[in-house]
Amino acid sequence: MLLTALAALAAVTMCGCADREPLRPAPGDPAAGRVAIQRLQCGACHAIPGVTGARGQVGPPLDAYGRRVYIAGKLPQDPALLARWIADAPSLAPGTAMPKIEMTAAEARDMVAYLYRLR
Amino acid sequence: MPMAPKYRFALQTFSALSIAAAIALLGAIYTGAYDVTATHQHTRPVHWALDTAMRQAVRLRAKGVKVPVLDDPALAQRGFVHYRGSCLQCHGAPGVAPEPFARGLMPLPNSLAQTALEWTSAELYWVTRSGLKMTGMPAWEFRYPDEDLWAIVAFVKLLPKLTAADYAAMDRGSSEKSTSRWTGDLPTAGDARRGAIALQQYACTSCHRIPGMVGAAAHVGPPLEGIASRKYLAGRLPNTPENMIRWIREPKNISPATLMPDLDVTEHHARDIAAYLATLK
Amino acid sequence: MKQGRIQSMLDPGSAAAALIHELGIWLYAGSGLVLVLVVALALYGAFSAPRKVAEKAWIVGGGIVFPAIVLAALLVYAIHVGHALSGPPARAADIEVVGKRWWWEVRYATGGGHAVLANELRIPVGKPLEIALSTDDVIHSFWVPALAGKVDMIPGRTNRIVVEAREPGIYRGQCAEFCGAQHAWMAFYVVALPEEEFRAWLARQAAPAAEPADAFLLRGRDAFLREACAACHTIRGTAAAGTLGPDLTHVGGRLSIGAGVLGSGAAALAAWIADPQHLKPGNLMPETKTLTGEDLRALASYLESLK
Repeated sequence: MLLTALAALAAVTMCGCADREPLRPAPGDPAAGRVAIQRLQCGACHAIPGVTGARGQVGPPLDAYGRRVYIAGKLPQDPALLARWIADAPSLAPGTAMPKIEMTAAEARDMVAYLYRLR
Repeated sequence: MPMAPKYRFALQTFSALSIAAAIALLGAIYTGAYDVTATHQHTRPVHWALDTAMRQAVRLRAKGVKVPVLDDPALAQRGFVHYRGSCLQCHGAPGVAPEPFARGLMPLPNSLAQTALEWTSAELYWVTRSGLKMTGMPAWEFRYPDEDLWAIVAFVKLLPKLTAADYAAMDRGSSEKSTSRWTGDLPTAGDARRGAIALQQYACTSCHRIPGMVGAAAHVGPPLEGIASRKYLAGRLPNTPENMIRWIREPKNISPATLMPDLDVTEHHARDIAAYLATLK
Repeated sequence: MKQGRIQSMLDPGSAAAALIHELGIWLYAGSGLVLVLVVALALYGAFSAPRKVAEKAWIVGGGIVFPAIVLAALLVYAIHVGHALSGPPARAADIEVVGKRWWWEVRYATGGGHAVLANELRIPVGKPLEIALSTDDVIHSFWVPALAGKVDMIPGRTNRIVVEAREPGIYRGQCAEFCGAQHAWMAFYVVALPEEEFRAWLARQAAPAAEPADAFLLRGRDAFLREACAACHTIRGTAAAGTLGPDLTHVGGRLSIGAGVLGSGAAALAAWIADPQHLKPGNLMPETKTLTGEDLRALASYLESLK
């Protein structure tokens, strides 16, 4: 009886965090996004879970990014807007240290999908 | 030495009951059975436990407080201004009801005329200064300098003696606004321990995930783990101690579009907060 | 350009590397054969019925005569390969490579003596170049596995190596002698280009840096000259003439930043400038605490424009 109760309790406790679906749906392929993050060296400035060597500390860490309410502390999260921020941050915040980075639209979209899955 | 059967039976019963109680408690937490809504009263035992714990804790902590001379009409007058500015909304006053929002609080804020009779000045000062967890009572330490906190106590002590007409007369007699701004001396260096308290008192923890702060798990702003090693603040400002203090105090001047609000952080407290953040390597 | 065979000694890209590879195959095959033989004898000894053997003959034959013959043959072969590797008799060096903790300074004798760069050599395909190897501090070792053997860079000496590539491509090299904390991040690239392209490239390398093309790049150059950058770095054509760090005159055209730590591009440059001590702890580049975000971007873009 005791074991059953504990098991039930454990199940109740765990189902809270087992849900890995993003809070916001985002088009794009998260696996391809991870590859793009690697290729574009985002990890030189940001710490990003799941990306080898991404331990940068120039900008904020991107762990649990899927729960982040705002982009760069300025704009409400939105997949299209975040894709634009990733590719061309200065166009949204002229004072930012984050450079404009050459990438395809698909890469930006995939990276958004990857980041939104970080819970 | 083997245990006598009756002791063994007692021990087994006690263990079984403890385990059952623990399961019941966890069950109440996880199933959501315990009603946390403000429209339901606490059960009598829970209310007794919370109220007694609160009363005893305040008594204990107010013991060492040294009470200044409070029977100065000018002091009570200053206290009245602050009371009207910051306390009236929830606690009401003789002949004045609390604001509608305050009537929805659980526990309901006390009528301080009663409290003033039953509590010592030291206890009133302590609660006003430090606030009470899980009630709506804020800590005013970071809002008012110590003299003003004592002025409030002086006025509260006066409450039981005031008629509705007395209070209305005081209200009419002064149009002074309560400025709740901390004006302490500027220390030479920030203090990380004070900074941890300031982080809470300036509501930093409601938007940032901050190591060492229980419950600071929001993702409204960026997480502050490793902020001491971060190279740029707000994505644009080199992370130096001076810039950190500037950013904490005047975010909008540094990044006009930022959602980080201006929290009126004093230089003193900004230094303390920066000192705490500097420990987050 | 062929990118597939980065830093592999099993995929030789030059005659010298092919000789080393061939020697390697003899070694692998020979030692494999000896291993099989010894294990087979041991197993036979363990599982066959006990009987008397000629002990002395086995000890002298298997323990002295056999290794002596095999090792002597190997020595003759290795000396022959080593001789072939040292190439034609020494002449004036085409390129000087100086090992530093932890990067490589590369100077071209041709090109008016001005072509100085870092962590990257470019060579014409099919033409052996003589490289003089020296060091500024401790012992390093110059090694591009796909193109040549290892040659140490020893304080107070100048060693030489001949490098040649049979086909165009990018070949990764690496310091092969432990030289301190960031030894692992002391990589470089050898880029083999068709002769024409190589000449054009070398002429560009020898030229001073381009003027900033717009206001943003100008802002970047101003930041470079205003900050402490010029104390350690040279950009030919500007007032910056520091010698402690790499020459940055054409840094925008290089394949890597920080001797292999990051790839190319303005973003990588910005990251490196903002946080060199985290990306490569212990290197001589200090972090700047005075560049605003916009200045950092301008500076990185300016450097990136220096092709």
